[in-house]
Amino acid sequence: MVIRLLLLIPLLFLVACLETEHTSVDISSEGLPEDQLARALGEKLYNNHCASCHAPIAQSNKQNASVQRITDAFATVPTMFNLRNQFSEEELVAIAIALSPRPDTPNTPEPPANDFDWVLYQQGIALYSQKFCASCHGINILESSKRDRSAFQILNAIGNDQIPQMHSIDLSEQQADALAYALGNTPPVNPNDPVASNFSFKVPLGTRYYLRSKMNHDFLINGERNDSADNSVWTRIRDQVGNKVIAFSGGCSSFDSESLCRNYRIGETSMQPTSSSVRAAYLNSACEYVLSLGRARDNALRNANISSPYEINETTVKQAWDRLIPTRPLPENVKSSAIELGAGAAELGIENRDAWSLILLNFCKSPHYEAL
Amino acid sequence: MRHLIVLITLVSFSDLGHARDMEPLKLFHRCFAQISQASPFSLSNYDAIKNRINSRGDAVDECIQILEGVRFDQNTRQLPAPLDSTSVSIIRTFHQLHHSWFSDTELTPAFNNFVANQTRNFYDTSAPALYYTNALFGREPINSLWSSSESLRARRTEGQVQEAMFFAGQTQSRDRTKFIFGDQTPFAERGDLIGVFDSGPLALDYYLKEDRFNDQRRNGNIAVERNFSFGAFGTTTYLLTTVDEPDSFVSNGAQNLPRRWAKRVFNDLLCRSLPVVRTEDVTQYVVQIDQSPEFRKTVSCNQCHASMDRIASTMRHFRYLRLHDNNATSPPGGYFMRYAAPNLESEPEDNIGWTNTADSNFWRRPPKGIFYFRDYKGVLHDQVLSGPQDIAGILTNMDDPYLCVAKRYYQYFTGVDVTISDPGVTVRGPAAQSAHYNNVVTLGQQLRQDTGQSVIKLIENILRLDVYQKVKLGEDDG
Repeated sequence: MVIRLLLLIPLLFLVACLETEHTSVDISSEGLPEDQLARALGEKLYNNHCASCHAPIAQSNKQNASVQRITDAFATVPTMFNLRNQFSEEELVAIAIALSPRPDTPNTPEPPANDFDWVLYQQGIALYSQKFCASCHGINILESSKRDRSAFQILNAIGNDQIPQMHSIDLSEQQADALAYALGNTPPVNPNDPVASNFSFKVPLGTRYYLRSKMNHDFLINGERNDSADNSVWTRIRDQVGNKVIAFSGGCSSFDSESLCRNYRIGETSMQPTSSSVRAAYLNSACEYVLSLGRARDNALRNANISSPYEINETTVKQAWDRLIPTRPLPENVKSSAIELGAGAAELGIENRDAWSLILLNFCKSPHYEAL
Repeated sequence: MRHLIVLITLVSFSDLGHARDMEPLKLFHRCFAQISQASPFSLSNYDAIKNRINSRGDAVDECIQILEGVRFDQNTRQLPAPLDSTSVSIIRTFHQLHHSWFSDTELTPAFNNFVANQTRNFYDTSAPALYYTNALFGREPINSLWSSSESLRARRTEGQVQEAMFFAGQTQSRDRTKFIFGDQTPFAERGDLIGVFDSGPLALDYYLKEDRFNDQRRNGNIAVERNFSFGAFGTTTYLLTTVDEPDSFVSNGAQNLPRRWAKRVFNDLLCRSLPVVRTEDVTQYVVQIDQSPEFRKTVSCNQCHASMDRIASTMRHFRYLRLHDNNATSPPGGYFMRYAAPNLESEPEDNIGWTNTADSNFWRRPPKGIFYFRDYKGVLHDQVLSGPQDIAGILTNMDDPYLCVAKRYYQYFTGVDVTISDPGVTVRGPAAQSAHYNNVVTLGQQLRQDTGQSVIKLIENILRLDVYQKVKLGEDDG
């Protein structure tokens, strides 16, 4: 039952993320004033010649591009050379008008947080690291030297004879889309994340070294593996946290001895996350993945001195919190919701031990878990 | 009236109650996690520590004892064997932290990617951070960060692995004799950091293939680890990450100067961004000569250039040199720093380090410059330099570099980033911000005055502050 519940969480997350708005462009021009005619013409030209690389006009990564900038691009960007003599001056002006903000919509609002495609974004930043983009273009994807590159541009670079270093990179079109999404978007700040918003300073967060060590000691007994079930826990922690150099920082110098770092020549070192939102998403995923193993939950309960019948009450909830998050006091609302969850589970006939999986998951996903 | 007294009493006690509201064991957890990036439960003697803390209650003392236990041996300058994982974690944590304090943690972007990758066989880009790391674990005074003349290289667990670095997803197994320095090739060590050593300038003979179509060779000698007595900031690795002037570059004292290095020094060593002087400090430097660079004609431009250009001029003899041919059969080399010794007399005294118009012989003159800087008290420093090493001498007698070190450790431990600046141009924020600022100033001054200028003492002073010992880290009553 609990496993099903656990499985539901990412599913709900996925569904929420997949609900995105579709924007259509009306290019009907009859009876429109001159500037609107120019805009309609520009939009049409843009959609025919530019959208494949720079996204549909509403989401174009070339908003506000001037005529000069467009012609400069024709002259300097090899993939655009073929467009050099395709347009008249009036057509170029029309494209620039189409890329300028509409007079009736002075500021395009930032898309609400719910529209942000976390799944695609996570996939993109994972690829950014796995495909060695970070080695040359900067470890922090938000400051990558290749921000706003389209999928087309990425695939083109891989196939470009002038960039032999990229020939060995194998990337599908779907992966290129994900990479382009991560390169073109900045994750919204979660207003409920105390690390990101409620604190007037940057809380020092644990690096991947800390999180791996911590999770090993929270979800294994004495941080050791005693049998194959423990092996699974240990492996998941290593894969989900220990190997996430970019998500959890802590650096990975080519001079580190870990096998992971032999494959990541990333000289940059950061003691702070590139983005607390990105980290939170990764931490959520790691906690879910690890705690979906009954052994991880059992070890955590044993470490907190909670044994059969695994009662869920004020004392045991505090014990579990203090073991997992020893540096922060148990918030009152967290305590009460854990106890309520235990009571609700009992009403549904769910075993206490299974209900603990969800409680521990909440603790593990708390921003306090990663804070030093 | 009685209500008022009760209210005042409550408020007072509430403030006192919040001054240090963290239980000692929790405080130890926080401290240990921060110094080691590991769970305190990983300590083999955790139970004993826990008992001591519960009976004596001095968590900071326990944490500092662990830190003090990690020390490079005085003779070997590395951790004594056998290595323990906690010590290795603590060194890694601080070294990575120190490395992250430099503006450029990678080789300059001006380098060709392929050759930069080869360069990483020789240079560990975290080498400038070794001066911080050595001050902490080698118990050197912190002013060695900017005054040391040693060329520190990292001592790591795996030593000089005879395997070329990763490139585009693959490592290339190569023999050191196939590199341009042959048997002498100084590979950077790999593995976990366990110590440091002074390599000296490492002047090495190299050979290159002159032409891809024949076996003609070009020989030479270059010092691959020269340090110009300016600590971390005079090391070859620091120059390779900050100097983006190629071999063809010629400093002319006007348009052409190694400014990137100069900007980074203000940032990395003094925690200051340009401008570091006020507009009224530069009005006398505005010139209206047609041949002068445009920036010399306006006050706002001069505000940065007056400081930046005149310390950049102390590095006028450096530029990066590519010793690597685009030939698959050539021995792998990389980028190094070339130093062309001066062979002319200095420029006129009224034009030190900064000429009104381009001087084609500027790069051949001695490396004079001027340190032009308003410190955190607002005092203007206008001092002549006869080379980068003179900056070190000036800084040792100022609070500012110590404040910068204090600010960086303070930020790591408390999460609060304090801005250090000229008080004449910065308005301090709310009271709480001022309290943090005052903390950093006091810590920096203490660090400078401390006999051994001990970094461990600085860390202990931070850990003993009220602001650190609160549940809500970083909050201050101020």
